Amino acid sequence: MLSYRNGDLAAFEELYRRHSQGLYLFLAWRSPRREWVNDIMQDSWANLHQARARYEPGASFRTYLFQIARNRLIDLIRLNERVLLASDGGEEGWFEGVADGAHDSLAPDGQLERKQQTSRLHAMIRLLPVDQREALVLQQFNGMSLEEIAELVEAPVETVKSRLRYAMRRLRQELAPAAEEARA
Amino acid sequence: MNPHDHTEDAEFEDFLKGEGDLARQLHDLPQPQPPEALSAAILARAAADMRGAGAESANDALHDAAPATPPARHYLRRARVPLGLAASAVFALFAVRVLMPQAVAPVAKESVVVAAAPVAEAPPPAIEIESAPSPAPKTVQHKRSVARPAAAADVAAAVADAEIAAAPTLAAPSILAEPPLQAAPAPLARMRAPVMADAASKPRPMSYFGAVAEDLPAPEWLDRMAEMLKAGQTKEAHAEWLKFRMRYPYAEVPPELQRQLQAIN
Repeated sequence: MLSYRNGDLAAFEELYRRHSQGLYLFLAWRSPRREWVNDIMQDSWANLHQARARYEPGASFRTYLFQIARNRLIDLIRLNERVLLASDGGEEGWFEGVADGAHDSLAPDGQLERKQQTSRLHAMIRLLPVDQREALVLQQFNGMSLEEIAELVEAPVETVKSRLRYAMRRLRQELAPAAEEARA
Repeated sequence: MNPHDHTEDAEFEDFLKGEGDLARQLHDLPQPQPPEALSAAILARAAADMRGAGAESANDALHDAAPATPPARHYLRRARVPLGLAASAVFALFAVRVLMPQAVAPVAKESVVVAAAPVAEAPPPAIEIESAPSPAPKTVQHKRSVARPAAAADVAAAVADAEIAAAPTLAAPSILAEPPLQAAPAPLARMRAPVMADAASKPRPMSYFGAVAEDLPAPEWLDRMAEMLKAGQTKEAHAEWLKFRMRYPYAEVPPELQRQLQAIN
């Protein structure tokens, strides 16, 4: 980040390569509207670019970047509360598409089964309360530590831990019948 | 704490380490990927910004948010045009009075009336600009509006689009119509990371990338994408679609066209 702050384009490309996927999937899981994801992604990197001179080493770069994106998302949610209550953002179809695309290479039988499993898990995660889902995505999909998550979401570490515990419990409960079926 | 709790604690610790059945399933879960066109646009924009750092561009409103140059120098650079105009007016007045004293005397008087205000108010040395700020900002604004007619048209179009989108129903307020973020509560004030306050408080097109350059009305843009699809230019159509969505986030899109464009991704 310091090289990038001093105008090194290669450093920016490296930062983008390392963090773009993680940020994108965080936004994809966290955003209530699918069409916001690309916009927030772009705004976040643009804002980072503008603010690079003010970056101070101390907080992790990833936390800094995710904070920019999360702030933007929260602003949009707040500004569009009525719209969000009134309509569906189409995420279900999006994640269906992700599940379909991921298992195209499998044999038809296995393909169908894996798609169903994937879709079920996607749906369960989306049904989690936002705080729990956010913690789960950051910890499990982005590999963030509890401390990093706590800093990002501005909550005590114990609260983050509790959210993750509830999320895990709920997913396990939902998945248990399917696991039983598979064993039988 | 009962044995069940101990068991769950152990499972939870494993879960945090990425171990156990559930963690494995989560790690194997297919995830959405950023579209290539999006990454390309972001990287291209950063490269362009870095190459053009320090130079004025169509996006210098963005640079204003985080000025790369010292404010004093920036201000003087902005004042070049008014200073130049003032100097020209002084020179013209001098030429008229000295070279053609009798022939154009009445005209010269009128010129004095017209030119007096800028000449008298525009401070000749740069240092004095700050002590007489009132004429300078006006001229600067004028210069900006002259220098960037396309950007101004974009903003006007974006605002018009927001109004059109909001007119029939309140169900789709545009991001363009955001109020200044200083008024927004909690997270904005609390976060240490920069928020989009500077950029969002001004009316602007939705995105910094690419879409700003486009100035097509939404219906024509949609037609163009439909033609691209018919011509088999799916990648180009998808790139246009991303730009379109940034520029017109709430525009009505024919469902079939939307389905085709989204299916490309």
